[in-house]
Amino acid sequence: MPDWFDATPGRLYVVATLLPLAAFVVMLGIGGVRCLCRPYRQVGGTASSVYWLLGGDRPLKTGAYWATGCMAAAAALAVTGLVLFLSDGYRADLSPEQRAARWGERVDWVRIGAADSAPPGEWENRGGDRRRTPPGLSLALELGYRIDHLSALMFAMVTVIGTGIFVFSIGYMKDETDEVVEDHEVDAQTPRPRPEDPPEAAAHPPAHPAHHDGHGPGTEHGFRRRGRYGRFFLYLSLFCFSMLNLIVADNLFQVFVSWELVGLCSFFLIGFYYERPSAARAANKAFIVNRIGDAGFLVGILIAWTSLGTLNFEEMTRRVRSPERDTHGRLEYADRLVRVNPKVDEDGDRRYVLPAEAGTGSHLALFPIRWENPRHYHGLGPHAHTSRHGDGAEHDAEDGFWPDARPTYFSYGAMPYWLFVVMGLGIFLGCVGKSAQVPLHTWLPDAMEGPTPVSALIHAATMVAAGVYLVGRAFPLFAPEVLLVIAYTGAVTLFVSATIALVQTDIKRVLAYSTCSQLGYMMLALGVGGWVAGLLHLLTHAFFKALLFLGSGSVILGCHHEQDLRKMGGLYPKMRVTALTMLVGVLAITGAPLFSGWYSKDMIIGSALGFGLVHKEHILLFLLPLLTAAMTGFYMFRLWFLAFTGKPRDEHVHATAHESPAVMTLPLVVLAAFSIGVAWGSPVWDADASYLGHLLEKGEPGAVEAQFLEERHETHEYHLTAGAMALIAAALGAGLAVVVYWKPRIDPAAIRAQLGGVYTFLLRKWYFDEMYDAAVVRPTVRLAFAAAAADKRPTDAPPPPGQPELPPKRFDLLTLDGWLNALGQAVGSVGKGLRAVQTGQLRNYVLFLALTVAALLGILLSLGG
Amino acid sequence: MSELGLPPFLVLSAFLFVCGVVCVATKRNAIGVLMGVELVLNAANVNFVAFARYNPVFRLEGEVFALMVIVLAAAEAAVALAIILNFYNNHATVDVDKADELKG
Repeated sequence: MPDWFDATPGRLYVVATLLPLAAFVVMLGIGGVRCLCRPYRQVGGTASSVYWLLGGDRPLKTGAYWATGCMAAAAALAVTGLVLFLSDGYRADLSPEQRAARWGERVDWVRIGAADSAPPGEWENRGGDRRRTPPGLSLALELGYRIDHLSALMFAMVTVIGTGIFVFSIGYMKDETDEVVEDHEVDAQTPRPRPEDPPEAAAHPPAHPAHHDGHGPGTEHGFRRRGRYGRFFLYLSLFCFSMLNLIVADNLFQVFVSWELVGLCSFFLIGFYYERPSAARAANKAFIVNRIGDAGFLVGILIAWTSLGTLNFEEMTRRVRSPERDTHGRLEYADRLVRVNPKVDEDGDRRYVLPAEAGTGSHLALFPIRWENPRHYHGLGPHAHTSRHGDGAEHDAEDGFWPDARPTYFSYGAMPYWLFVVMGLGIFLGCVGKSAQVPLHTWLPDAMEGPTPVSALIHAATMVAAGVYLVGRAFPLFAPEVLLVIAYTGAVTLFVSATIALVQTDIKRVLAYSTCSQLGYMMLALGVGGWVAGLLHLLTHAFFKALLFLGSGSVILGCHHEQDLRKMGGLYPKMRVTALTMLVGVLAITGAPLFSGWYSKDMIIGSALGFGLVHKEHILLFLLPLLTAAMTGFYMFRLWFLAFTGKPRDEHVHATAHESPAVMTLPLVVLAAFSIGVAWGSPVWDADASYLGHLLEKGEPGAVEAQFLEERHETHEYHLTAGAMALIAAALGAGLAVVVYWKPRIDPAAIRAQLGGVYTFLLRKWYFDEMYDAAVVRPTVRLAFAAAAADKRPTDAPPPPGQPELPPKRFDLLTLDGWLNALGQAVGSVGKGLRAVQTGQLRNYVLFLALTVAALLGILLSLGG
Repeated sequence: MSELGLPPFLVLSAFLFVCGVVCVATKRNAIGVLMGVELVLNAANVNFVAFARYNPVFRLEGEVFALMVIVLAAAEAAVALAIILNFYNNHATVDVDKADELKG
């Protein structure tokens, strides 16, 4: 074992992160070489033989094995790293600093300014400019990794699930290995817009899709193209790399880079069948909707950079939260946000003082990143000074904050509190986009256009998990107000998506909305202080959602790409493994006891109840998830019953249905095992004893406990009640599904007829798409048309033969185009004038030369004299 | 024999220079232009040598530069004559007023 590894085992994770990237780069290189050699394939020679060596016209299968191998190696490294990391936690000979050094490193990437090396005191005495960079900040964009319990567990989860999905894809994407693939969903002759298209798009049918690799439009049966087996794994590898990089990143900027990469890969993969107009549109939609969130994220990053001077998570936390360690037994004041008021001294110095009433100041106190003697920090908070003075007046920092001769630290500065809130909201907006929360959730169901393994990857391990993960990681940066917004966003999302999922008939869309709903649970949990609950749900949900999606993929493949639940039914005898593993997933997501989902959902409902009991006005945050637990049970069992039980509703589908090959069922079985047992602890039947939960608890930021002390107390008190209520609700929902779909006592059609309006409302997904269409898309398109009409000519294209060229429009000539044309013409006429000087007569030139020299001499002489 | 001093040389150099410039500016014959250029160069040479003689600081530099200019003038004459020959081959004349094909 090399030395560097002994010193910093965290590098294991760097290697694991780079493995999928290596897979990507190698595949990209080989694909590029193949592409370059393609024109010579008939000519012969080296290029031709290279072309045929690299697979020729037929897509290579080796790429898939190579990518899967890299992913599996990453998974092995991740699990090794997890074990090493956990065992490090039991080593007594390591101080926290040493442990941090073993599991995290950082290097400068782009240096922006010189490091300010002055010691704190000196820095302080420079006077006036309080916005100067505090010492110890390097003013550089950094690359770095930091492994803690959260990232280690997430990393293991992503790589393990990723490996499962890669293996599954080897089977699922088999069609793509053919030399010619016929896409029946693309009409080769005239691409016709689908009925659900918005009218604007229908009026302008998209251009004929480009033909891949020069294959002709094909027959009228469908569109023909080359198989894209390698490309699929190429994208998957890049996707996994981005996600892994996002997980290990120790600063916001690196997160942002990976964040965008994840978005880009999702764009590629959702639009994998880009000849289908619906797929192309879904990819665009996902990308554009995510841009809205990313704009907010960028604002948050910029505020953090300008106000805090660093993007490193740990340093940002130390800047905004009061220090952690304290020998005076005042830990209850650690990890708090401290609000202060600015006050100008007699000598014009700006200082900050604690307000009489805690938590009302207009500014947020910022703390130095490094303390000379952190153990001498005294607690902060209302009692810190009222106990000393007791008169409730404002006290100067000197006695309220640092009683023992360290007053100047207080001048480290502060930032306006509203700016801090905006920063938190901005970061959260990014997470809203990525994690598909209302109101930016509309891209997620449309993302079902991608191949099913992609849906599994997006929904379980990578894309949507990124948002929740970032909220967990950046938790100390969220003000209580932001957390409340997070909680309500989550609550609204989980409810809205669950109601939509009740009526969907596409098997993948039901799952998509259930993902939205479960992500809402996670956000809600994080917002009400259930940090462990939310992230535990993230981990468990990843396993059973990957299982459910891969299961649905298996069903879809077995039914020959039939996704409509109304045409399935009675599939259980045909595909037992898929059905049973999916049943495991359904039970887990419903929260059946002893399945992994039970532990996490139980904790979430408990946290919500604790929060609701402390803040009575927010009891809705408990009622909505409880109600939704029932709906979850209903729609998940509805899906399972509709697909696997009852009479076959479509003879053709049923007759040809078959179980998938082992390469696809094996990942299902493995994921099912994880879905059952990943959250187990000792004893198994104790919802609080989840081992995974305990591990996460060790990685919990101190800020959570500091902010939600009271709520946590209530949560522990009423945990059992909440769990029981959730269980009853889920059972009721599941029971309803049984009587409606399995042993039909109630006719679903009758319910539909009775609730006609509501049913349509839900079927149209609360009219979100229509709303955006009317509010954003159409005005934009209309504006574009208006702008185009104002242009000199409506289009750049030459007029159709037989029609006169359109006359220029006055408006444009008077505005931008007019000015630019005038500028161009002015330059032209100056050139024309100067042309006359260039006579070509040698004697003229010499004359000019002599005169110029004489003139210069004259100037020189007059200056000198 | 008494020393002449610097000014007469400078006057001679200026006279030569002006002659050269006027020759370049008025002659239509390309050979004549070339001769004018030689006059200008030699005016500079006279200056170099005169300063080398009367200013001890430039003793070495002045003479070296004068030699440089002579070499340069020789090279220039060779190139210019080649150009003139080519021009004559193409246009059957050495009148520089006819050489205006590249005018604006």
